[in-house]
Amino acid sequence: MSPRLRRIGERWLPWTLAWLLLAFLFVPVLVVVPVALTAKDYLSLPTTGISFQHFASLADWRAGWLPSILTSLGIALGSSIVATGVSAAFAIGAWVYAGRWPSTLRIILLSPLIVPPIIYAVGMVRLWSKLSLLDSWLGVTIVHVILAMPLAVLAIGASLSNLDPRLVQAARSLGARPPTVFGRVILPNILPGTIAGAILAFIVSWDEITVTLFITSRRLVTLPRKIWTSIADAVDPALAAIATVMLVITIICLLLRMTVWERLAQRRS
Amino acid sequence: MAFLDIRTLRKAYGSAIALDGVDLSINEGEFVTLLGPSGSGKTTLLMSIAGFTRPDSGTILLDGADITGVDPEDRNFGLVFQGYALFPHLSVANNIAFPLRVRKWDKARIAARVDEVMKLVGLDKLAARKPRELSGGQQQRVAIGRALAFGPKILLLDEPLSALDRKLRDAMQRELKRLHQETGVTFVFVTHDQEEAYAMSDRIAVFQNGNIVQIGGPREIYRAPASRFVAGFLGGNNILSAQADGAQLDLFGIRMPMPAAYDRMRHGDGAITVWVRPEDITLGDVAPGAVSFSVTVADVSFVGTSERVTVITTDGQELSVLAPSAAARELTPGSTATCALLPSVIGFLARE
Repeated sequence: MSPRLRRIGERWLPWTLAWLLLAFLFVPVLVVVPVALTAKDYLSLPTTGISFQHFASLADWRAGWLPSILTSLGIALGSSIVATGVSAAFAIGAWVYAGRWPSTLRIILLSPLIVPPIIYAVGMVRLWSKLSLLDSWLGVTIVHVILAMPLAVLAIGASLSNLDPRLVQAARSLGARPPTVFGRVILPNILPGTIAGAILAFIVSWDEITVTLFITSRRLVTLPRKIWTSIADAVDPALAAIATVMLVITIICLLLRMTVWERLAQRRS
Repeated sequence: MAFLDIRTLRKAYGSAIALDGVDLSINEGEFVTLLGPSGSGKTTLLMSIAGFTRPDSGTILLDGADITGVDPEDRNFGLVFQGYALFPHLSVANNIAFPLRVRKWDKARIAARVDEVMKLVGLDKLAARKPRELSGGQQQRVAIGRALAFGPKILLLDEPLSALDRKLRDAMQRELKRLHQETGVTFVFVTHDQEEAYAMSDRIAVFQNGNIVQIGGPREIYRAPASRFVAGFLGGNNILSAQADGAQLDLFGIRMPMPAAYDRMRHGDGAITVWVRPEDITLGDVAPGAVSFSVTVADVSFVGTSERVTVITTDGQELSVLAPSAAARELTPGSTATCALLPSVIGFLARE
């Protein structure tokens, strides 16, 4: 084989295939960008001209997109904070007091991962109607906390599993009271896992549609619910606009993670 | 009154009794080792002294003051763990500074003390390293330095050397002994290794089933084990049955004059139990005054400085003999040999 062919075979072929695979995964997502720029009132490619009117309607309070974004943001932030706090408390407790009770509780906490959401939704409707929590901030936030906790518990538990439980005894024998042990020994060691858990919990809530559809009606409209109804009622290109905005935010976050975070990590070590 | 006084301490986990009324007095500046097999209660006692285990009953007095209910963080005792339990996110210097920061010392004082401690444990060049970048022996030094940094009243050590290889363990034993002498701090050391206990301790407390069965200096315990358990646990003593008959002792069917160590009231009459150290039995040559007996060789194994020869006596008892290599070279399993011992090396166990 000529050196030229070899170079193509060893270098360019794997490269091309890898990029093709990435394109296969990513290009369909990018379709939303041109669609968002259409001048028409229905989902279509911008053949007759480019318009930013659908982006403008996102910012228009009466169109309902902005309120639903704020609703989702509030619920996702609230349930992420609560789920992370409760999960951290549980994970640390289970780490310190190993035994039968923590492992039983762990299975119960992880059960939302196993129970199909639709089954869960039916159950929640009945329970929430009895407690009159249907279509309320509190009702939706509690459900999202429950759904987000498995991931937060797993993320925080994973960072604790590498930590020697006797660190607590060591710190106390050195004179540290429980709050100091938490703040100076446990927290610094589980911070990466806790941040990951909080982000996962946020995403669970931000994305959640199945149970939310069942337990909300007119008053509380989260973003996934708004998207859902706008697909069902009329195919509004504002949908593509909101998808584009979310895509851009995701890419910015990823770029930040890749540049700023790496630089911070390098400086720390 | 002793510095640390432990009085009838009891602790049970369900039906398992970890401490069965333990009494122990430790003097200031002493190096005391709690020695025993796993599950004998030695670690439970150490954790009770540290404050992490609440005894069911009994009291712990420090300088006459009852500290049984005091939280571990208020006891000012240093604690060194088997796995070291260093803070993984802190450098060596910050691990050692941790107890000082908790005590809110000012910055200059902390820096000076950390320098001093790192020199004391021989780590002055590794201040900026993280624990995961250190060898096992270095981690051990950090753990000891951290536990000594704040000037504890007592240093508690829970099998700190068991994770190290043999050579390092010997070096750390000398190191601990030196630290004990230089700091004058009271050391309470837990181990299941009798050689470790012999090498370092002022006194050894031997544990069995939640009780201290013997306490004394290393030589005293080695020479005069108080019970069959202590004799067997410490260094592979031969435990043998014999017949006591007034002024005569019958061992392996050989009659000899009763040694002076025998006390009829304590050791009993008729069938009794005696112990003989493997190094006190000779192979081949018979010293003046020694009694000799013929044996069958069962096994010869090389143990470095000498050979450990297992022989069977004519009355069927198994005997372990530590002999110089020259004397044991010709022996093969199945051959017969002559062993001898002086009656004065025979130890007697109290009637149980």
